[in-house]
Amino acid sequence: MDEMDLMKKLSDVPSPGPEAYDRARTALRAAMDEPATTTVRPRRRFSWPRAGMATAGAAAVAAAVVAAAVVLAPAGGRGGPADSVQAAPPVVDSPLVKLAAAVGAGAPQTGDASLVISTKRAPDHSLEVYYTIYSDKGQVFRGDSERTLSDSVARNDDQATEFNRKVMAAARLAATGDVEKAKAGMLTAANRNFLGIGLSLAEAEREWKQAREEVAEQFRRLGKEPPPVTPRPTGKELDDLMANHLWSNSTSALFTGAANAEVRAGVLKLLATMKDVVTVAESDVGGRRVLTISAVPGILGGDGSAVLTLDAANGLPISDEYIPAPNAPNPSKPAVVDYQSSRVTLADVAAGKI
Amino acid sequence: MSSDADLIGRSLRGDTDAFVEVISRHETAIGNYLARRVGRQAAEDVLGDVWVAAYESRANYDRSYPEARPWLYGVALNRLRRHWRSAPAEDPAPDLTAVASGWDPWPAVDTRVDAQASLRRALARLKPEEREVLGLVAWEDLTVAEAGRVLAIPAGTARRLLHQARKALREAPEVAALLRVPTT
Repeated sequence: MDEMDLMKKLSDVPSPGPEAYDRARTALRAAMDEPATTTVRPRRRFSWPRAGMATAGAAAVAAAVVAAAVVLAPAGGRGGPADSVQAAPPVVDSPLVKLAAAVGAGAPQTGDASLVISTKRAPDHSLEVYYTIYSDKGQVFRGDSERTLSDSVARNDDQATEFNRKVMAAARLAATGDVEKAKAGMLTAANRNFLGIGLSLAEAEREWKQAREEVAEQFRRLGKEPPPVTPRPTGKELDDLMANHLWSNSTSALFTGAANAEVRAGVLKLLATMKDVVTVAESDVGGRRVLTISAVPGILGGDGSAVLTLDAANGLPISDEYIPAPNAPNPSKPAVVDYQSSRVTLADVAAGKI
Repeated sequence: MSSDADLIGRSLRGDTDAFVEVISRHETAIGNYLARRVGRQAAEDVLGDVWVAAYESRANYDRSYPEARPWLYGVALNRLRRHWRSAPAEDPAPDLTAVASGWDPWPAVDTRVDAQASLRRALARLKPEEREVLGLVAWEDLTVAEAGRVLAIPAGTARRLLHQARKALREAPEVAALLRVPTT
């Protein structure tokens, strides 16, 4: 026996009870609910919206209240900005619609999956590289290196989340079917229908009330004071929030499966419907024709704008840049993610041929 | 089976269930770690905060390490420090004034182990960082390098601290007596 053996004799203590583990997981789930209900995908760089947040410590859940507090007026109701966002058709002369048609009419795809390699430049100039496979069957495989991606495919470790499935289905529907129906699917992909898409006014009110109650309960479970009641967003605030969801979810689909022509064409059609908050320009960068799609700060929380750059010939994403507004009260750091997309076969990836 | 690092990576891409899976793998170990330091009741109070803190800081996880348990010990230790500092003023640690860092969970441990009073007294004379490395290695079955990760110190420093702690214990008269007389 030595001193370490003596120490081990002190290690036996009464463990936390099973109910304590359950409570701890509940607290974790409550904390996790914040990104699920406020931002439509994790990479978004702002808190929507910051204005009106009561306390910094409770901001995470408070944000959920604001996000949940958005209900679209019922179709055929009193009209207004919300209705106009929902009903905006694709602009047929939009370069995005023309590009979508060209993508859809392109040559048959090779391989059986899309590979998107994203490279993010950190402020210290280091690079973070992620690999995303979207198979034509709808599977999603990810890795932070060629090896981990290959392992994921080899193990058939499909990592598609419910959110992934919904946004990809919405994008594909937009390419081949009803764009308005696809838009509704995209708007409601991140969570339940707290935007109130297609609901009657009474249903929308119930949804709003239920969302508020759920968030208040999350606050209580965390031992925090529920946030004050806020009015239901209307008008421009509602328009901007819906546009935020459409932009974020559509681009998320693009960055998951860009080399799938159907997904890409559908995303282009959906972005073409955002003519009031998105501008499209064509230019030449290093001898390459590109389309730059700029989203106004209003749909990104007000603190910055986003510029998505696509190859003008095939619609494949080249980069996604976030530009902080010069006088933003809560500026985020600038960020750029570069993309490379290609068609692959799952068999090759599993064999390490990337 | 996916590594903890893979699961954390997936959680960063929106798969919240992946992070719950990480927690499921280590919750008993972390729960016992907390209980050893602050007692069962306080451990139960702090555990949820540990998971939330880990979730919120998961972007900082170094995914070159496939096993997340040492990182979770570190998150738990930071939460314990906050817990201790926020304790009511009328209920301070018995010998808090002797702790350079302003926080030392070990007195709470000591009071629970009366049967090992001699060892307890010897432990009380160690430096806090020596005791922490010793506890992580002896109780949590971490390697010295992993203990270093928990405490954010180089492995070499952790190794030196463990060496110092073990040497001091062996040379303590009350521990030497325990080592000469077999205990049950």
